[in-house]
Amino acid sequence: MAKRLMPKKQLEGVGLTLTGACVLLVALVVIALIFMVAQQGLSAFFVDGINFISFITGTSWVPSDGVYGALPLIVTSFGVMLLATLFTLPIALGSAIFVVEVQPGFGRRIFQPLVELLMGIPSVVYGLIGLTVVNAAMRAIFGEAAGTGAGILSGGIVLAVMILPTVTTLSIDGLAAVPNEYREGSYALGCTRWQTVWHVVLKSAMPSLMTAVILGMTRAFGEALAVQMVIGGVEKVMPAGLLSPAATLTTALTSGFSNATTGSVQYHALWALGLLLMAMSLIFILIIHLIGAKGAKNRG
Amino acid sequence: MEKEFTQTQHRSVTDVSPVISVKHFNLWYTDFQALKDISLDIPEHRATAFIGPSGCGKSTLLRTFNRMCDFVEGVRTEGVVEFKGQDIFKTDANALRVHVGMVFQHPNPFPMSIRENILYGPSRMKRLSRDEGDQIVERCLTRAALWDEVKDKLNQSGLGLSGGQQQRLCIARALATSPDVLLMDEPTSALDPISTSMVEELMVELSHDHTVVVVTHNMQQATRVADKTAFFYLGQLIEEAPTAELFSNPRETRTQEYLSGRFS
Ligand SMILES: Nc1ncnc2c1ncn2[C@@H]1O[C@H](COP(=O)(O)OP(=O)(O)OP(=O)(O)O)[C@@H](O)[C@H]1O
Ligand SMILES: [Mg+2]
Repeated sequence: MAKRLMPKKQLEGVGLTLTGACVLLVALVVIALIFMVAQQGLSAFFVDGINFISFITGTSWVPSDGVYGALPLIVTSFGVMLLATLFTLPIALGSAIFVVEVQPGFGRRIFQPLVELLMGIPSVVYGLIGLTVVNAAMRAIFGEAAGTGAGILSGGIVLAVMILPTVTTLSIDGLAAVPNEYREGSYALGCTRWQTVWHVVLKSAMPSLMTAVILGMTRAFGEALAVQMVIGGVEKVMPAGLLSPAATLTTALTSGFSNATTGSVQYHALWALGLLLMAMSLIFILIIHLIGAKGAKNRG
Repeated sequence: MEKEFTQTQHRSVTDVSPVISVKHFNLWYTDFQALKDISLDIPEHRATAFIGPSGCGKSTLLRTFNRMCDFVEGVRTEGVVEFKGQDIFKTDANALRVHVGMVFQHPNPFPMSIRENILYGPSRMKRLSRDEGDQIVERCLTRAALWDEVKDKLNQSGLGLSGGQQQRLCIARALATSPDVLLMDEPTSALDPISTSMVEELMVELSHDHTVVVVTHNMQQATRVADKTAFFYLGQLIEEAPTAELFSNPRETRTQEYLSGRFS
């Protein structure tokens, strides 16, 4: 038998220190991150004197003129997120039901690898495809009204395609996790497959399905690159409709930083947008946890 | 409540018309023949027990009666199974299952309230008014000897009940569609002795106006609840007889060996 490099007790200590250090590092990074965003973002209000209320409710975002009303950005962000969810949800749920309840063999062998492939495509590629396909389609369908084709609707569609794999995969996992005993119980009472899917499977998978949707929403909310490529992103006033070009919180951030000097009011205002984004994401995560806790409670 | 459940008077099973009739029935899982030339009558409004060593096909036959076998890939059948004179393979499986209810080995209430669990079956068939719903809930829970324990928490989750209560809830749920036959696959094997005794008592009670078919590994249970007992071995029906007769006076040597515990 090989000689031990270190006495056993000492080895245990090393393991504890190493893993503990990893945890500490992660915690430090998270705290530092939150601290930095908060510090930079809050200085827009406390150092540069921007009024928080008018920052949230102002309907015009023109940093070059010193006008900081983030409402159009917030509205657009929620708009594209909700559109994306609206488009994605039925398709994701429909295919998940097909894969789990109707054709499990096909689902596991062909469909799931395909969807996972989609998940690996970088967002810039989605943006490119959106730019050439979606925007062109908008022009073809709506004509003059669509302008260049860039707008909230295009953003929503591209985001829908982007989050589709995530929401689908998580929905499949959620449905597959429903114990077969529930299905058997339902069939044994004379219920058809669709009655069983509707009244038992979907109902008991509800917490995981909600989590899937909210994770998709979070992703849609935070995505910048692909959206920026298809949404237009120069107009900084309230969008007039689904076809109008607009800017989201994220696209305003990415496009704004190139012409903001470090430490300026404009610079801090952009950090404040970042803070807003982070707060929203935290709220989403919180909701997921609440749903998870409620689901665990329901299961007894 | 604690009173020991005592042996029933076995009722005659010979002068009773069969509600289910199995005639030269064979079943294959792909290439494996799980049931071999089974012919058997299930007497109406009696309790019938299926006994036999593990893997002998008891569950398979039970799950044939309500066509739960349909869900297994590669199942093939030959021969006839009649429910009230009709070939079950030529009727609608969902309609059959309304009349032939099932209780499973592991209690499987849905993750819903107690009330919703009971009304699950009936409300798939027709719209129920609040009153009709209340009546069904009370009738079925009373029938399943659970009403007194849960009448104040009908809107709480069925998963919050104890194992024995959950199983009685499942029995109540099965009763809600007013089935003629109740199939029970080892319904007490996951329960404690007191709950077991309650469920056994229930089986006897129910067998007065329902037909009960129960799979069990527990010989005492068979003698306590069943009027008729059938012994299976390696996919074959070895012997069927009134329970008292089969236990006191088995004709076949394999039955004798099994009952005396020489294999299990
Ligand atoms: N879905 C299936 N696919 C293939 N073979 C199966 C399937 N279900 C059961 N079998 C086989 O059929 C035979 C009978 O099984 P069955 O479940 O009916 O036995 P059982 O008498 O209920 O046993 P136990 O007392 O252990 O529950 C067994 O040999 C089993 O391996
Ligand atoms: Mg079995």
